[in-house]
Amino acid sequence: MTVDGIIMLVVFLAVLVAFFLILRSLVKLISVGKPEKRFDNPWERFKSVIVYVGMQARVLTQLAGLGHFIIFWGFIFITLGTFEHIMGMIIPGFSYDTLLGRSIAGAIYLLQDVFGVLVIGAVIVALFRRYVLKPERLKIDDPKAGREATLILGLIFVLIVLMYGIKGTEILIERGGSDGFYTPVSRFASGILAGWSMDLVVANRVFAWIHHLIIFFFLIYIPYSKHIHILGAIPNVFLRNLGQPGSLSRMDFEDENAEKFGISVIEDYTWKQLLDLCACTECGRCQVACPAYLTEKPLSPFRMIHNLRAHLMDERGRLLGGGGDGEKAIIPGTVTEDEIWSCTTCGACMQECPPFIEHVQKIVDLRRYLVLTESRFPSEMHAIFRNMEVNYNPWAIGYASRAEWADGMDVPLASDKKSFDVLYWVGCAGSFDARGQKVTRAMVDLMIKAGVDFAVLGVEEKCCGETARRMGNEYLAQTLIESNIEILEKYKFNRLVTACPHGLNSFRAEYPQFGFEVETLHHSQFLLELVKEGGLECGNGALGKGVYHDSCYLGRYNDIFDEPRELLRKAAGVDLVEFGRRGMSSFCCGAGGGRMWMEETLGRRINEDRVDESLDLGIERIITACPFCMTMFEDGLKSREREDVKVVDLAEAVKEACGD
Amino acid sequence: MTKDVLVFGEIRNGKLKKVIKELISAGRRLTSGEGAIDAVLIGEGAKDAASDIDGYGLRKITVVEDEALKDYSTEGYADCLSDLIRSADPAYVLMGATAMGRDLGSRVVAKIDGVMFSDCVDVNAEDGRCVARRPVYSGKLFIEITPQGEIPSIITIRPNNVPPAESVDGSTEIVTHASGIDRGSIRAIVSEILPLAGGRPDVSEADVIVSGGRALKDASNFKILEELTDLLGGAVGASRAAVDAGYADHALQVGQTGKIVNPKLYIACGISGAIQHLAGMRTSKVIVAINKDSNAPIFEKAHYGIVGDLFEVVPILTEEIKKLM
Amino acid sequence: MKIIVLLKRVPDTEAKILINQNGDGIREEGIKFVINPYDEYAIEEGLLLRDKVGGDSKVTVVCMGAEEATENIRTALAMGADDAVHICDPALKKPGPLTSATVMAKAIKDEGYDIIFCGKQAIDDDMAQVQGIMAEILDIPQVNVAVKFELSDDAQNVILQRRIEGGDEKIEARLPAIISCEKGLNEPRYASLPGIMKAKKKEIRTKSLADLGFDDVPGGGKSRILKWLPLPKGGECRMVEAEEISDAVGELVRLLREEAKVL
Repeated sequence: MTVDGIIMLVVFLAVLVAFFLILRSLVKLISVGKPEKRFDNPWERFKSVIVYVGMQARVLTQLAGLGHFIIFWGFIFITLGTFEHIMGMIIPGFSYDTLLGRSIAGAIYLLQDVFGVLVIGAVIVALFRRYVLKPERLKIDDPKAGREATLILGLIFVLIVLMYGIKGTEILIERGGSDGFYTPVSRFASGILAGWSMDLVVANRVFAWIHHLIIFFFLIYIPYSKHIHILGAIPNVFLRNLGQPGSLSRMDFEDENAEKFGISVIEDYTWKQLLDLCACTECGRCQVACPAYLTEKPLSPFRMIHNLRAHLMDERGRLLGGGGDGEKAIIPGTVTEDEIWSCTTCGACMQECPPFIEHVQKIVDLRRYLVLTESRFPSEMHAIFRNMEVNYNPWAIGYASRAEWADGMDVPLASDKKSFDVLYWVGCAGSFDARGQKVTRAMVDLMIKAGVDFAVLGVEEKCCGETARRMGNEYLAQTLIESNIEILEKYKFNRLVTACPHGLNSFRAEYPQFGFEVETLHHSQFLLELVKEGGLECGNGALGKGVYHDSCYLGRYNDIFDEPRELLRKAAGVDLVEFGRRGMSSFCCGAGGGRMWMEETLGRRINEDRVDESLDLGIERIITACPFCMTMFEDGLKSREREDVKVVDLAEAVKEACGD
Repeated sequence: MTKDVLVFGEIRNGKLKKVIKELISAGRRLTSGEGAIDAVLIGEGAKDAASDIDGYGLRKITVVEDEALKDYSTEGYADCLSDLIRSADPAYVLMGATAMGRDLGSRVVAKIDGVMFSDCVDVNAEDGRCVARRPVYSGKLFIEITPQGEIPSIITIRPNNVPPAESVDGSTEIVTHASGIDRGSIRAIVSEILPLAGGRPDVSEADVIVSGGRALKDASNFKILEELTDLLGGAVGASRAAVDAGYADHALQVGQTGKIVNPKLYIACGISGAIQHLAGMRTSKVIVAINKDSNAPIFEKAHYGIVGDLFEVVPILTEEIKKLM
Repeated sequence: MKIIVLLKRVPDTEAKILINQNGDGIREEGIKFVINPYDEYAIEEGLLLRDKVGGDSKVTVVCMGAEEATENIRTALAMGADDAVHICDPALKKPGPLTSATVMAKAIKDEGYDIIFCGKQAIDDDMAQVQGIMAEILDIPQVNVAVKFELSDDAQNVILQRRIEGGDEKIEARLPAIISCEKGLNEPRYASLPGIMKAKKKEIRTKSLADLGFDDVPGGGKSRILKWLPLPKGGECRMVEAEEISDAVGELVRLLREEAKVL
């Protein structure tokens, strides 16, 4: 072994030990979080890693993602090469050629060589985007973030150049078995280097040492920069949420002596939530998908995760047992209340996120703390909570009036029928809101016409609890959920149908947490079924042009995109026009997350943004599948003074087409 | 206990409140020929105020202008009035259901061991007994209630419900009474009267609200509503749409995310009545809706409605009400 | 400081109130019972005062009502009240103001008190008499319809603003006193979850009439309800129409004055 080799061995070992220690301390740090079960279904999880890490599936949904794909794979091959080189310095003769045979080794060398150029290209494009194009998604008000990114890009650039320097000089001194056959670019580099006057052996050593030291620097630097995502992202994908995207965690209220509920300090989060923070690549895609951010509200999911991670790192000392000044509250130092309350829980951020970070649960956890422990929330919500407690609906309307929408109709009641096929869940809007009642009546008319064996709960129905849950009032939500389950269990029915996606999501994703599971359908799915089975005969309804808005809780959270469209085309004869932002990328109406009940004073109005988008399409009709969306659109059209544009629910469109 | 009626006249700022004429009217129904109606006026200006009710067929007007009682105090007035009640021994004591009446009545009823019917909207005699009608459950129902046994009844009557008495010939004896009450014994003293800031009550506490929607089209147009509401002593409200458009301040916003109000009279001008707004004012006793659109949802919840342009209707409404005053 | 807050269990403001079968009361099914809304201002003011004065100050809720009232008392305890006295006796059926005031005054005297807060009226009977009668029984000053409250520096007096027509009276009263609270006095807090949990363990002292030294119901039988009347059926909106708008408006004004009696 040469002197070089001995020094390299020592340094390499030292770096490996340091890296191992860093890794261990990161694991310890994350373990400070509360427990969470995420190790179920390992095969499914493994497949996720193949698709989302190996194939970079989410990253590639945007063109700029190609750059990351290149850098990611490039780095894997290049690191293989680096490893070979370092080992080669320590153990002379170490090479993939001898270990793996020419063909495999050759493949590795070729990939390394070609990817090097691609990576340089990707880095240049990245720097160009960051400093010339300045895309919205990279905007963050922490200058450190930008400097970090530039440093990393710069170092990658330098590393690749040095790599070609090493390979090029090796070809010239015919060392290491690199005859340039599998490394065309390095051969090209050697041509350039041939013209240099410096000692090739020395140059080779210098290039190699600088290169390796930079790599070692990277290894130690990772946890202190956003490059921690290299360590965090892959496990995060493996441990992603395989359950319903629309479910929030269930809190336990057994401990009567508990003084605190929800999250107030960083270590209250679960270990998985802390791991999330280490998975963030700072790509900013969540930011430009967020309706709050896009309407100039203080919230940016990007910034929130970034700040939480910075805060976690700041608290390392204390959390790993180093004493310190004591707990530091997350609010308002790291995340402000305005940010927390601006969220509509639309889930667009989570949909976009390549390493599957779960932003919404973190925000709701903070809301839970504010509401349950400190009773600190926007004042409008006090009345809303009170109304749900006393009258089981967010408006202050007596609960005994819940079934008045059915006056004059012959609607079967669950308490009469006891056993039936379909339970139609009317929901609060459908029961109390004059506009929502029209939808309920339309739907009930259609079901009666089709001879469906259904019933409604009438005054026994209580608010499903979804709003309370998203607003952070988990206690109230659970009270409502448990109350409803008690009532529902009195009856025998096969399916639950509802016109409200929030109710739908509740029953699909959240009621099972409390032991109640039933096949739940959105009314669009049910109506389509009726039409297809011939139960509903809709003549050639020709309702003209209309645009269909994908509700967040119907589409993004519950994957229901096609049935409403099919229903509209088939049964209602609508000439469907589409929003630019549609399907999974649909733009939220602004009402979710309890925001329907709160004043919107910051930034622009989300619903007005979406209404403007619809007006640009030049249609006369907007078709919604959700009572919240309907209200938001109607309000927005009123502010834009375009009440000539009509908003209809799917059921109303179908009813019109199936008119007597 | 006699069959007489004692009427208490409220004096504020030296002026006798006109509800006394309604009390006299009620008193006439209760005595219907058998008993006499006396009046008691306490406070600074009582002697002069007595002339307002001279000529209404009262038997006697007792005025108390002691220094200790020149301004209202619960204990002072209650002590004095109770003394007078004990000596006169009427069957009924009538007061206006005003802030003073409600406060005073509940203290006096304990002193004289009687019964009190608060906030009545009508009083009649049936078979020689008084039957008072009063709202309960925030006015969702009414009850008719009568005293039992030979006990004096204090009845407070809501202003503007019983028609005021007409004057009759003849004049009434005015007697001065010295209460003998020592101001030092009064434990709750009014130090000053603060008029309402800005002259208008807060929308969440107002008894009358005139509210405007987006149809107002401009902040300056709210003046039309202000004129009307000031006549009625009420507050101005606004729908969220109007506040968003900058026509009114957020403090006036009525609705789900604004203020919840419960006035006796709510006049909604150019407000469509979407549920977000209704949630804030549904419990108003009387809702009047003025809207160009006959299909506006507000007409489903209003008690009275006019389909018309608020810019036409409201000024005429203001004029008509001015004529009443 | 020993702070007493009176609490009454009443139907929720949104409940549909209908006359029962016999015509002698209201139908109770389908009604949610809550803390009298004005009492919430009383509770809040009591809590604010306790926290301001500190020391061993306590807020005790006094409620006279059916057994079910325990639920409402727990809500008050969840808001932060320290303990409660629940006067419950089968003999107490729909007590009038004199009965309520007499019985509660005895319980309060037994407890000892420095100040009493209550709501300006209960939204079921809307009598607004208990505070005046109780003040007389206890021989203390009363201030009703308070919209502003302050304790004097020497803690011997209270300075309040009381709402009257067209303005406020500024009143200074000597303690002990009874204060009835009006909307706008404060913003009642939302009970936090730890508060709700703690409330389950706070003490509620139940007292029967006998416990308070009464042989039978005091102050009863002074009045009789002859009839319960529903509101006149006015479900539909009365659209006022005429050839000329001025005529329609004139008619509207007449209706408001004579029929609705709001002018």
